[in-house]
Amino acid sequence: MPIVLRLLSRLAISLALLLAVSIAVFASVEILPGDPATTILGRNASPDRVDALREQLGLDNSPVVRYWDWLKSTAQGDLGLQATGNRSVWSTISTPLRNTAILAVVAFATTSIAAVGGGLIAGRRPGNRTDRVLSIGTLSIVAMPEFVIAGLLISLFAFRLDWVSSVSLVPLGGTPLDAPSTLILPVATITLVAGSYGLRLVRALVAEASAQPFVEAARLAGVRETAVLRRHLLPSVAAPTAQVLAFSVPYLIGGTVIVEQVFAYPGLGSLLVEQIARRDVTVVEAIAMIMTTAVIAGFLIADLLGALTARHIPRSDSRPSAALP
Amino acid sequence: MKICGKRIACLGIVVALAVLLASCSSGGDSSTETEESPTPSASATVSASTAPSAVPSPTASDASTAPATATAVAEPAVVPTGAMLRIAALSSPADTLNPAATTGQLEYAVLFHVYDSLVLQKDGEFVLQLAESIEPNADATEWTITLIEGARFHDGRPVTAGDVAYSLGLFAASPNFGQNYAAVDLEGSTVVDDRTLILPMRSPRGDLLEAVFGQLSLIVPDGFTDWGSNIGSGPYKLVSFEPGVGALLERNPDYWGDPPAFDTLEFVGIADPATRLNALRSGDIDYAWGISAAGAASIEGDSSLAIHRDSGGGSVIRGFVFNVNIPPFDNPDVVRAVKLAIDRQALIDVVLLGNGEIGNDMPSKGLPGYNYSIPQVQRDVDTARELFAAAGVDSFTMRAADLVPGIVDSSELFAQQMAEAGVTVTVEEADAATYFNDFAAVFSTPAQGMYYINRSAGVHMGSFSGSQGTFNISGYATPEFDAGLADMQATVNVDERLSKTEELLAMIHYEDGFVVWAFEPQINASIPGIERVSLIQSSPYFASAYLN
Repeated sequence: MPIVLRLLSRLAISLALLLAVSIAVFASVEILPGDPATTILGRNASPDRVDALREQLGLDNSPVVRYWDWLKSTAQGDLGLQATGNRSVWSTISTPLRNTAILAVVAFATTSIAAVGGGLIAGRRPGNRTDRVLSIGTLSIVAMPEFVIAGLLISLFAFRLDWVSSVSLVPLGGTPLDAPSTLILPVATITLVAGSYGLRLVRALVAEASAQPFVEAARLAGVRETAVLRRHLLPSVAAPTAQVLAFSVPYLIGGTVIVEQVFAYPGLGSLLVEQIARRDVTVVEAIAMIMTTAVIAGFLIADLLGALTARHIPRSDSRPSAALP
Repeated sequence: MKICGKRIACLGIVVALAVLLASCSSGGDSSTETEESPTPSASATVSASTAPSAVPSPTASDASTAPATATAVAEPAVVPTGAMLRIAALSSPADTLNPAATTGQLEYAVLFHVYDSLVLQKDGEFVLQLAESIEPNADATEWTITLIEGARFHDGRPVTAGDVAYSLGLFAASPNFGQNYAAVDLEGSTVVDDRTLILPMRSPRGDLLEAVFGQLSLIVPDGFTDWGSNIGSGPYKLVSFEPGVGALLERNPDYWGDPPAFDTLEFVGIADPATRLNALRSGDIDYAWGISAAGAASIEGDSSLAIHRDSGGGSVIRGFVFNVNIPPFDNPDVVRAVKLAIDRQALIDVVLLGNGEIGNDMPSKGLPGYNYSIPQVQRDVDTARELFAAAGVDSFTMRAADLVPGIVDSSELFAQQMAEAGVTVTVEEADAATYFNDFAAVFSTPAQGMYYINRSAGVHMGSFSGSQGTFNISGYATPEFDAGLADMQATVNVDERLSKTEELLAMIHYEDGFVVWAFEPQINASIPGIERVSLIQSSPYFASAYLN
């Protein structure tokens, strides 16, 4: 019962948060110099031509009016038209959204395996050689910018070894799943980044649990290591580990801009960057709302998992969200 | 578990090896570059407003001025090879195949293959395509377009004058091209018969063919609006199109012109030039439209790849603009001193990595109407120093933004070169994304770094010079120049108009505050052996290309 109440209140807060973010995003795009009219006209942007195009595109209304119009139609499920009026926002974002979702789901699976598997191996006996190798390795990866990691993977696997293609060209009219090899390098890059980060957190949890008296006792009692792992370590870290993984969701949805750009993967992140440059606030808002929803959902799930097993979650000081790249 | 530990150790070693290997591999690998393509979007090439210089005959340019590349009209048919060609170009999920609204490079390339145009600016020449003739009356107040016989849309309908009227109306009504078509009185047009359309002008335009139709005149079927399932009359049919992803085109077996060699063209959207080059290197594509100079340097000498440097209509003008109405540049001696003090070759070598042709303070090199008779400006630091001293100029500020990569760098090198002539130049860096949003600032800046797409002289001057030029940021507009420009625009005879164009370019060379230090060719790359790829403005065109 308290969980249900908690869920409801969190949902209400989430909606308020979405509204606040939508206002902030709208205002941010509004504050940027220029608008779709000046962007379309470029060097032809003489004042009277800009005025005429603004009127044509409906940009001559005040920002408040335009925001209200946007909010009304979005609340009714209509994302509206691009600023240029050529296409609906949904038709512009739907395919990139699908592609990003596919990438995110696959990368979430591999990231989870890397983080949990690696974390268990490294944290089981803190300080041993395996742990040191993994800890230093992941620390190095976490310290590296994504485009460097992506560049290294391209140099090695695409050019040196010629195992995979350097670009993720999705077949026309198909999905990335029609050519699974397009996913290999982007997923590998994301897994290295997010997985390394997750691995370090899971390792810390496992290491902490590993030092608990009941685990020590089990080991001293001669329980086999696999059994210690299965019966004692895993159950005690399961919930906080799930929380760690939930925290990686926002990164998988919104943080893959650079990966998408390097591999020419046609996803949501690169579309967002481009649409900000075009000052197309309706498309930017739609993408921002999707990403914000994903972030809120990820945190919500993480918090609920945390609430279910409150004793194992150190409070905000060790929350991984803030530092996730 | 021990095995597991060893595996991890192995993995660590593999990763370490990977790092080593990668760092040993070619240092020129440009996979981390994010610079914008050197070829601005096709829409930007079509912003001529009251443009001059026209050409009412089929191949209108002066043969000596055009870079010699074949035109489909003049070439024999090529035996079809049945091959597929994959081309990477800049694209965006937000783009459309509506020819009057799109801004995408990939989209323009697709449109030029799916549609025919009245006139194409192809490899620096104006070539009639769907038009058999485009003729003005004696005072260029009325033009008559006659279509060729036998051209049909992909659904079998013949191309008629009504389709032309509809298509021109689309462009005239669009924000991208409306200004370009302002001189054409479309409401007053008359469809005489299926092949003939008469267009009255709002003001005399002897240069309609080049300055208006030559910029964009794709012909779509009358009433057509189903963009994405486009039906044209061109050498290729659109099979599928997905914004941001690409397009698939198949050969039009019933094409009225020479049959193209490639069975299918697949256009692939890749936004980043370095990624385009990577895709070419790993064999995912055959032709990359737009790579960076650094990227080209990294594959120089690689026999498995070919680099194409295309000047003329595909090149970018690299320049500095000095406002001749603002001190100190209102003094012609100061402008002359600047032009003498610049070391153009050093700018090319350093900023463009040697990838450029030297400029002579006029636009349109390699295109109709360029003035080759004016001697190249030579550096003369001593004279420049004297001129600066006599004018009392010892410092000024140069505003620069990387509208294309290298503008800031070129301004900084310019400042060093001016120091040798005793003038201190302060470079003030501005934000590129918003540079043109403050129009007033651009027009009141005394000195700024600038780039232009290289267009034919008449088109360039119409937009960027004289009192009618909507983007005349040097402020050069003497009464003599204005009168000469209007006279040139109304001139019907091609040769006469071209010689008037050359005279106007001479005025720009000597009097305008416009320094052209280089023409930077567009750099494309491909697998070796692709022959006879044309450029329509800057867009590659494969209708007459084949694999050798």
